[in-house]
Order: sequence, then C-alpha cells, then structure tokens
Amino acid sequence: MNWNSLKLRIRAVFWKTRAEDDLEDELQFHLSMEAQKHQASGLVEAEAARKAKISFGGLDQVKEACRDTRGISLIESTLQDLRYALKRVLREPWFAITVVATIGLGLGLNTALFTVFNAAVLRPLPVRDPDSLYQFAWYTRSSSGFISPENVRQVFNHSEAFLDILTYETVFSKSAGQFCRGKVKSSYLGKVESSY
Amino acid sequence: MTKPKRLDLLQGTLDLLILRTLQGDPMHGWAISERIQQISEDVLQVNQGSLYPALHRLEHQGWIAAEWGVSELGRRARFYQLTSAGKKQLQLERGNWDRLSSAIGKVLEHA
Repeated sequence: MNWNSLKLRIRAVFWKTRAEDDLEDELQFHLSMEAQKHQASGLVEAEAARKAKISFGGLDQVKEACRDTRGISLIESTLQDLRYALKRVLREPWFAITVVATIGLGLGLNTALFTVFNAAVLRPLPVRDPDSLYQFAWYTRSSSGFISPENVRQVFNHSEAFLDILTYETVFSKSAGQFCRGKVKSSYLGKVESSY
Repeated sequence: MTKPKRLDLLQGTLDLLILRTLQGDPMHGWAISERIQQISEDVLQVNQGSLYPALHRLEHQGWIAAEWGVSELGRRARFYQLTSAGKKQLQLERGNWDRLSSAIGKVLEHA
C-alpha cells in the first residue's frame, strides 16, 4: 500500500460521509451528463433520464465496487461485528458469562493436560534409552534411603551389568539464616568400563 | 448494412485506455468514457460499472489524481489527471500491450 492510497483510506474512514457524498455526486454527475446526451438526440427529459439509468446499471453495485477499492469495507464490517457482539453480550450477560467460563475452563484443562503429557511423554529423561534406566536405593526393616554417589561409583565401577551411571545429590545449605533445599544434578555420566 | 458489434474490453485493457485518454487535459469520468467510445468509432464501449471502480483504483495506485472542478456546463465534477507515476505506468503498459498484440499477430499470420 502506498502513501497515496493510505491518505485516501484514512480520509474515507474518518470523513466517511464526505467520501460517500463525493462518490454520490460523481456518479450523479455522470448520470445527468448521459441523460443530457440522450435529450440532445431527441428524447424527452424523463425518457432520457430513464435510459441513462438503465445504461449505467446498478448504481449501488458501482458504489460498492468503488468502496472496495478504498479497502475500508473490512474495517467497517469488523467494527459492525464488534458493535453487534457487544450489544448481544450486554443483553444476555449470563449467557456471555457461561460461554466465557466454558471456554476458559476448556483452555485451562487443555493446558494443564498438555503440560503433563509434554513432561511425561514428549520430553523423556535426557539420557539414551530411558527405558533401561534403574534407580537404586537401600532398604532395611526400619528405614530406607538413597545411595551416595561415592558408593554408587564404588559398587558399580567393577560391575559389567550397567553401561553407564548417572548420579545426583541433594544438597542442603545454609544461607542468610534459612535452610534451602536444592537438587544439584551431579556430574557423572560415563562408561563404567572406563577406568576410574 | 449491419452495424459492427460492440466489443467487450479485454481484462486489464481498461486501465491502459484510461491512462492514455488522460494523457492530455484533465477529464471527468463521463468524458473519458465518451472519448474512448468516439475514438474507437463505437467499437469499444466502456461499462460504467467498471469505469468508476477503475478510476478509483488508479487513483489509489497514485497513477491519476482527482480534483473537483467545474464542468463545461457549470456543474461540479470530479476531474482526473495523469500523475508523473501514471505517465511511467502508461509507458510500461503500452510497451506490454504492443508486445502482446504483435506476438498474437505473428501467431495468427504464420502458425
């Protein structure tokens, strides 16, 4: 869209009646010139005007086609739709609330489900072949716990049962008088066979 | 003697004819359509339903400019005038038309 066209469009949107009047005048001028031509060739006034109108075709269609070149029909019809929507909402608020709540709940549920699905299915653990992963822990009759990375290394370094080990530690640290708990993904992902 | 049939304008040629007609003095829509009809000896008839949308489209493109003036008979009328961009466009479209018509002519002659 060039500057020239933009100027004309802005004029058409903000000075709509002016643009419409101009269009009407322009087309009416054409009609009266055409009628005069017919009159000059011997027709009576009314007959000349009628003939001019017929040869022109649908005045409103021509106007609409001219408006289309202004390209404001889209803006106009969007504004109309918005006004109509607002009117309906104000007339039936409960219906509107129900619709908004339904769509809102639907969207929320979808988002929540997708978050879970994404974490569980679409983004599996960042290791090769996550299905073959085992987590080790120890149990006694009275308690249970995880094994420290150091122990894991000691135990599995000499085992041929596992290809790789991945360990992590949970670290507690004191900061500004408060205990913070953070999971530190630690460090080791390597072949067990390799010498350690 | 039968009157030669009036031809409908080929798609896209109306713009070219309007631009060419406006090469001289500024004219209003009615005069443009009369002029095209006269010069073509009534073979080409400009349909008003496409003339005015075309004029407005060309104005949007910046190839012609419109101004309200007073017609020969003292009525307010919208006069169109070729802009400098329009002159360039006319040259371009005229070149295209010449190439197209000579190509079609050659095929009709020799094929």
